[in-house]
Amino acid sequence: MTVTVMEEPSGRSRDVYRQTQDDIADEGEAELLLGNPHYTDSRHSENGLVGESGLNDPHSSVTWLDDEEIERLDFSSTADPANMFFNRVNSSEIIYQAKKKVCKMVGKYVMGDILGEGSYGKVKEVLDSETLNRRAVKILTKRKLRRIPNGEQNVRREIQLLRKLKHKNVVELLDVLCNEEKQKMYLIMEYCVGGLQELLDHAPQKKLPLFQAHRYFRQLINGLEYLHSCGVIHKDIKPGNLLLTLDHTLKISDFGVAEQLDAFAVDDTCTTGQGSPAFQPPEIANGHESFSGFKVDIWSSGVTLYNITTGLYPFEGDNIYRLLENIGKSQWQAPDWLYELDQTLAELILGMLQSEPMSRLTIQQIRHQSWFISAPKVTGPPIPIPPLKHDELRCSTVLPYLEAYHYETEREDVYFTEHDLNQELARQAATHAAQLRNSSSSTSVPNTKKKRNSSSKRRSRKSVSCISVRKLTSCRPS
Amino acid sequence: MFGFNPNDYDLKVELSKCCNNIGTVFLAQYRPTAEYVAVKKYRMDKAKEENNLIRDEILTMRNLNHPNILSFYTAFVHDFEVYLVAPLMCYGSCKDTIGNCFTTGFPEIVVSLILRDVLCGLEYLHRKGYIHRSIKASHILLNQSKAVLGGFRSCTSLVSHGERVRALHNLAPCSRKSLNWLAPEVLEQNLLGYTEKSDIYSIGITTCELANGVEPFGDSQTTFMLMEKIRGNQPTLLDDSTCPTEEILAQVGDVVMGEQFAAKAHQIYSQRAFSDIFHKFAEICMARQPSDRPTAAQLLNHSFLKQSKNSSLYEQLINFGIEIADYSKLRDESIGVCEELGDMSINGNFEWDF
Repeated sequence: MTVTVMEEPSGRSRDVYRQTQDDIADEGEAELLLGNPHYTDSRHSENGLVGESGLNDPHSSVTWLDDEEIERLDFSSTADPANMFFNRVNSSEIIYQAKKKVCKMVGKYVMGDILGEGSYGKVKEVLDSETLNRRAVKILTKRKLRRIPNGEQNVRREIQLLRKLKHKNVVELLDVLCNEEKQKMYLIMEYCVGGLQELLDHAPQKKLPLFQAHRYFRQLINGLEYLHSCGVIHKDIKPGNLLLTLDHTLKISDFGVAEQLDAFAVDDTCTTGQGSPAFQPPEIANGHESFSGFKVDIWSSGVTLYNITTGLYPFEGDNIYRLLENIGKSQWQAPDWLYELDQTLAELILGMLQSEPMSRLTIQQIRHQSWFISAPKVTGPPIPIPPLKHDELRCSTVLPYLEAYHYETEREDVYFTEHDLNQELARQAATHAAQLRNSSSSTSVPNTKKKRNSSSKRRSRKSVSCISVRKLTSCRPS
Repeated sequence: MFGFNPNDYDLKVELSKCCNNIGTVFLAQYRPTAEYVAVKKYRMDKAKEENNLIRDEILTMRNLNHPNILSFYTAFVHDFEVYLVAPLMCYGSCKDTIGNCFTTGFPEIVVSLILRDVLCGLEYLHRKGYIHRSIKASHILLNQSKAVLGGFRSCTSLVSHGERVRALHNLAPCSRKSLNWLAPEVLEQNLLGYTEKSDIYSIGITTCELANGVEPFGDSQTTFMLMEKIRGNQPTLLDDSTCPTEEILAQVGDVVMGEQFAAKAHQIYSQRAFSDIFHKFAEICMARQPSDRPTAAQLLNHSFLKQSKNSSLYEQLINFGIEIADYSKLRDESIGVCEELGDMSINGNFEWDF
């Protein structure tokens, strides 16, 4: 296998790359990044090939960057295509460093892998080291917040709002940690395994069976009723903001554009709408100055219900202006095939997608709709939560870090070449295939063997429970 | 037969605290009949999240009726307090009894007698569709004749909204103090979830606790305990075949029991021998895969429990010289004073004299 490295004509290669062991396992290829001159090592050999000098002294040839440093790289200065050409490098000349999973802690939380990335920052999985609860952390950096108009103000408002909300179907903010030095803020939230959008993306025809959609919709309405009772208007209800826990409890999340009504407000009048265009009601699409906030959420919930049951959107448009024009133009009509699919469902969606906010259903009216009341027949297995990096069980991503921390403290840094890696992967594949062949031929034999051994095994085994007492030295609270 | 008037209960001795110090258990005498009972008082004004748990505990217990499940006579509210009046379990919990009389663990025969009772209760609980979720020595109560299972704050039903769910996924709220007893699949919190088989794992850990007198993983970091369980490593019953060397035990001892005790404990551990069947019983309960663990009903037929067939807890406890306290002599004066002060302020007869 060969990998190409972009290089400048002068012969000095600007190579900056990072590689972790699991990246290799996932993608099976190197990730080479073209870097800014000041990130390259001054002792770099003049011939320009990454590998040749790297083989002798890996430290001198490359600069190891962590995720954040790579983000900060500025590619514009080297992005002149005329001055670049591609070069072949032998696979035995690409060197990887097996990156140790370094256990990092924020407060009492052990950090895991990234779950998602938003405009405000990353969301990572964490483990509460005291209660062992899985949690999610939203990491906000001042640097990123400054780029967003009203960023810091919005975040402060979102935190205030979330702090007082507590409902089964609203994502719970459990803790807020700050690191002044790093200019970072950590919002500890309930752990959700995925969102409705993720489920739809992996479902055939991008829609859910009716019985499954019904379960989620009922929970959405329960959560929404609670929010409205607290005077909170979400304004951005859509499948992407409806998360699911391990037991398929729906959690309304992302209160980035939500509005808290004044405690003395006479009604639910709002003046701003900033949600996602496809889910906006006509009154916002037409640019009305003020409108009923509750009815905005009802409309977006209607679009959401239509979307998760049919895989379609009630309004479409080539661009955002066309889309908003279509939403604002006319009353939506439920298509005939929707009536054929389920008449009561069509009536409910029609009631929620009334152009005129006054004639749109209220939450109480939705509760009395026949589709809401009676659960559709279970037609088969529900659409499962899709696997993450081949893990169908969605095990905690913190575990590998803890494994490294508790059991691999003395391991040396390991360097290996791509050539070695390919050979190793081939060898593993071969042994795996061999195992498969063996297991099919001999099934009952190992069982009896195991039983006979069990008592002697016990005798020889160390009692593991109460031996090593180790302090959290390598985990620095940051 | 037991009334709702708190003044009818003569609180004699504070027995223990529970539920983050919100609950206090008293030895009390019911004045109308002179009967001795246990009174658990919850200060609801101090409770926040525990509020629902205390209510659910009482509701769960009301649904259960089995000789090996802790019952209660009555429950009522007085001022800020919830009173729970229950039969007196004279030896307290197994953990208390270990601390008082069996610091290196119960003898094998007593463990088998206790576990037989607990498994009877657990089998009933599972049959009714409940998962206990915090089986441990401090939740097993003893009196002269039997052991009963208590501590129902984490207990939950697999039946919700008229449907039996296949598995649960979340840790019980306030499970922090029970983490060491929880099964790996409970702690993992992945899409597989856990079932009533997780209680069987806790029975295994409790078996070690009862036999060794110390809490398994008591000295390790919580995250280390998690990794050990996920890797399938189990604690063991400590006897001549498994006891670690004195140095290791002393290391642990510094943390858990104190140096002197460690040396003594090592001597005791390394000189005793548990039967092979006892080791196997603990091992199978703590199997890594829930499907490899027997059910409570199957465990009741395990040959380890057969050895206690012709014996009784009463007989064995007498045999090991455990005496029953004379209640009539017990009285903690400070409790009486508190109660009187409480009465004065309630009756309003008391006025400051300036």
